[in-house]
Parts: sequence; structure tokens; C-alpha cells
Amino acid sequence: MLAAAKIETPFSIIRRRFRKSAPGKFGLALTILFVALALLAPVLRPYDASMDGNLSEKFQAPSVQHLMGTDDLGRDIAVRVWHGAQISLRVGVISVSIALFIGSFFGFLAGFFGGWFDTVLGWITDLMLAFPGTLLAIGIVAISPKPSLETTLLAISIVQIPVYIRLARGSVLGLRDLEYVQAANALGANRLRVLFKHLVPNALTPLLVQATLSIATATLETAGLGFLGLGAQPPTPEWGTMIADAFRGAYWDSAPWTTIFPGLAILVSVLGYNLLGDGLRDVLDPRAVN
Amino acid sequence: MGFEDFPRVHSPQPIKKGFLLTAYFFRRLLGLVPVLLGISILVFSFVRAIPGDPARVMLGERATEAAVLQIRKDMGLDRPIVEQYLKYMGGLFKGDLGTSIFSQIPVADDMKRRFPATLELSLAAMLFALLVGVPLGILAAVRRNSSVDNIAMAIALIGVSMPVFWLGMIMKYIFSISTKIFPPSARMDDILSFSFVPITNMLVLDGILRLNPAIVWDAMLHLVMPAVALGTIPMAIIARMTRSSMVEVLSQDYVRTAKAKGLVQRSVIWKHALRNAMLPVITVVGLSFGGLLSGAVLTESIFAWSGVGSWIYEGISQRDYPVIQSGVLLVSFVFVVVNLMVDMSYALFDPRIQYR
Repeated sequence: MLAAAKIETPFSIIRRRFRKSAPGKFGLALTILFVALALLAPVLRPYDASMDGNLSEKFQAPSVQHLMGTDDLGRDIAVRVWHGAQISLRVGVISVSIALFIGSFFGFLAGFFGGWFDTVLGWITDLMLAFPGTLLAIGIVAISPKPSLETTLLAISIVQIPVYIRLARGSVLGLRDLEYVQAANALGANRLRVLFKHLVPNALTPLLVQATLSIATATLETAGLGFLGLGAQPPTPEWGTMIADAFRGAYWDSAPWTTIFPGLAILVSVLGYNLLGDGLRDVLDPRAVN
Repeated sequence: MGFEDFPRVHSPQPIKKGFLLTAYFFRRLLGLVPVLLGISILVFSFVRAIPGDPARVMLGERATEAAVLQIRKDMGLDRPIVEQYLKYMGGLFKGDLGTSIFSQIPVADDMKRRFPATLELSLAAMLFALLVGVPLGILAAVRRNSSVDNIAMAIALIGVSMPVFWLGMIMKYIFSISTKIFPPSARMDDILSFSFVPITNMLVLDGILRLNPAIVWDAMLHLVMPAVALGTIPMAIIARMTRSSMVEVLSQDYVRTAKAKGLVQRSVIWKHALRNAMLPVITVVGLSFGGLLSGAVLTESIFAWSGVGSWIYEGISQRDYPVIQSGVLLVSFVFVVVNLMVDMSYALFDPRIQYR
């Protein structure tokens, strides 16, 4: 029996399990499609938002020429939504990477060393989590001198940091007292080496799942801040900002396509991340049934 | 008479447990104090860090330097920051939250008017979330891996991925602009509101208290769309949570025993399984309140709902410091208190939880 069993690396187990996860596959496909669209946008259709617009073609309903219609300045919605993908992806990935890096770094240290550092960090996370996320993001954007995409990115990133601190701390705490760690300690390994060489690689899984799901939240929050006028500013083709333009310009009801398509783009991309995250969690969760 | 005097025949456990529970609640309440203080300090310094001088904002760009200085002095802005904070906190305990720079109305008055509006909206949203989310989750769990399950979970997944403000606009387009089923915005019909004096400013409740069915109906019609928009994300989260929790409970031995005894499935699900499956759902409901309160900022601005969310938003765009400060403080306080209540209810309902 044992001889017949193929040697399975963790990676091949993951791949095999992932292939069985229908939502995961669908999410991965959506995400790949979306990332490809975002990356190809500047290559296939260079676009300068401030130069765009043809007033003689304003408020056209969707047609073969303009697949998603045109807005109040005669700009092609499809092109703007397409380029919005790039913005959305950039904000999502960068903000989550910053939060993941900073949050888990401090979380690992706190979980591993404990003591006063853990206590103080605990207070800070508690305090940050005492504010509803979006509200905290709004607050951070409000104290920046001028709303922009960069401040949005920073705000969304800061809001997510405590989540990663908690997660990283928790997973290191769960591993800290296992035998292989004790063995490394007994062999006289340097404390930091034990943490980063032996503990961190085993603690990364929940963080990566969370990161995928966080990109979904980040995308929604970017759009929300954009809609409130606190994020990207016109003429940037950010999806939330586009919807805000239509809403405040009071043409969203007479030309609904100006609102429908950017919103659909938000919905579909967030759906992709969520599906992918769910799939990854099913696959990577050690308690999941094989 | 001490504890020793009680007959030992009855297990001493309940007494000890009740005592521990009270002690636990008390300690949690005490633990609230530093968090609330921390929030107030954070919000206070945050608001001070917002660029732009409130005195300058108030008087406009062309005001003389002397006038600005005078206003700064009147508002106490020339005092050291610690003194300003202490003065603000002192006022807070007396119910004085300052005056809106923009409207010159005492902030406390505005808050009294707007908080019930947001509370009404949040409660309605949560009601929608529970009424749709819980049955959806149960249905999915009971018919696990069937097409019913797939459809229910697809709805839930779309729900968690939904940009709330967009959903609000789409609903408004379909149900107000195209078909005129629901009123597009505001909390009450203009004509009705002229002759109506609210009591609590939760209008549905006020309509009931004043025994005025026309008001109740009108307020409810206005409430439907904002509540559904705001409640969609919690609905989806609750549906997912209910499903996974229910699936776990349904696979447990006692449920199998109940089935083996020949109980009808309905009774097994509703009487035996659901009660235990609802514990994690309670947590989700509590945690979702934070999302509701921040989601209110977006929803209220779509539906011109004069609640705390739109208040904070207007405060930020007008650089109205006392308003932002009080609004954000209020929301965070409510959030922290609701979370605490969830923790406590958890401790109360789940006998497995130990309090130390």
C-alpha cells in the first residue's frame, strides 16, 4: 500500500484539492481575466483621461460603437471601465500588501515574544478595531490635505493592519510551543531565526487566504470612498468616482448606463476575489476534509 | 450566612458560575473605560489634525487676521491641546457637544434628531438581513449540495460582493423612477411631515405611538429601499454563517439521535439544531452593526436619509469639526458597546464558555 502511494508534496495536494473546488476555479478564472484586462489596458488601448471626450457624442446609449454608452462629456464608458480595472487592481494589491507586510510582521513579533510589546500592540489593535472600518478610512482620508487615490490607498491599508496583526499573532501562538520549535530552540538556534525560518512559513496560510479576501474589501472601500468624493478625483476613471460623477451630475437616471457598468465591474471583480478566497480557504484549511 | 451553609446536595456549580458570570460582565464593563477614553483621545486628535483652520473656514477666506484670532479665542482654539481636550470631555459629560460651525445649531440637538433616524434604518436593515439570511442559510444547509444550496450561496456571495451605494441607486432606478412603487428619498412625505410632530424621531415607532396609520405606512414605504440596500451585506454574511453553523450542528450525534427517535425533520431542524446553530450567528449580527453604521454613510447619502451617516459626511465636506468629532465618537461608542453586548450574550448562552 505505502509503496504504491505517490509521494505528494504539499503543493501537489493543494493543486489537486483546488481542482475539485468549483467556486475556487471560477474565482481564479474571473481574477485572471480581470488582471489580464487590467495589465493589457495601457498596451492595447492607451488612454489619457484628461484628454478624453467628444461632446458631440454625449449621453449615447450602449451601441456597437460604444459598448457601454457614453457619459456627459461624450467619453466612452467601456474604455473608462476597462482602465478603471487597472486602478482598482493597483489599489487593492498595493494596499493589501502593505497591510499584510506591516501587520503580520508586528503580529509575528508580538505572538512570539509576548511581554510588554504584545500588550501594547494589543491595545493599539483593540483601539483600531473599535472603529468600524470604513469610518476609520473616511477619518484618515479626512485628515489628509487633499483627497486622492494615494490617500485612499494608505487609508485602506491602515484600516486592514490590525486584522493581520491579530491573525499573525494567533497563528504564531498556536505554533510556538510545538515540538519542532522546541527542538530548534534546544539546538540553540537564534530566536529570530526560529521565528522567521521555522514559524513564519507555517503561519502564512491563513494570512494569504485573508489577503485574497481583503482585496475584495479593499476594492469595495476604494469605490465607496471614490463615491463619497474622498478618493480618486475626476477625471480619473475610478469606478466609484465614475458613479459619483453620474449621481452628483444628476444624469444617472436619464443615462443609467453611466452607473450600471462601473457598478457591475466592481461587483464582478469583487465576486472573483471572494470566490478565489473561499476556494483557497477550503483548500488550505487543515481542518478541511481531504 | 456564607456559601458553606448551603446544603451540598445541590451542586455548588450554579452559584459559582453565576458569580463568575457577574464578575466577568463587571470586568468587561470596566474594560470598556480605557477603550472609550482611547477612542475619545484618538478622535479628538484626529479632528485637530484635519487640515484647515476652523475659524478661517467659519469666517471665509477674506476675513481679517484679527477677526480670525478673536474667533479662535472664543472657540478656545488658542488654548493648549490638553486643556481643549479636558474641556471637551467635561462638556461631553454635561451633554454639551459644542456648536456646529456651519449651522450654529448645538451638536447635541442635531445628534438627538439624527441618531434615531440611523437607529431606525439600522434596525430595519438588520431585520431584513435576519429574515432573509437565516432562512436562506437553513435551506442551504438542509438541502446541502443541491441546486437549492448552490442558488442560496450564490445569492449570498453576490450579496457580500455588492457595492452598497450602487445597489441603492439601481433599486431607486427600478422601484422609484421606473415604477414608482417606493418613494425615492427622504424619510417621510413632505405634506405629511408638516402636520406631524415626532416623539422619538424613529418615525415608524412615532406613527404607532401617535396612533396614525398613515404615518406608519408612509414611513415604512420610505424605509424599505434604504434598509434593503444597507442590509444586503449583513444578509449575505448571516446566510453564509447560518449555513456553515447549521451544517456542523446537523452532523452531530444528538441530531442523529433525534432523527433516529423518529422525530419529524421540521422538529429536528427548528427545535434541536437551530438553537445551537444560532450562536455564531449572534456574533455575526453584532459584528455587522459596525458595518451597518459605516454603510449608513453611503446609504444615507443615496436616499437623502437625515441620519448620522450623512451628518458625518456633511461634516467632513464642510470641515465642521464639532460635528465630525461627535458623529465619529457616537458611532464608535455604539460599535464598542454592541460588540460588548454580543460577547456577553455569548457568555450567557453558551454554557461551554469559561470566564476567567
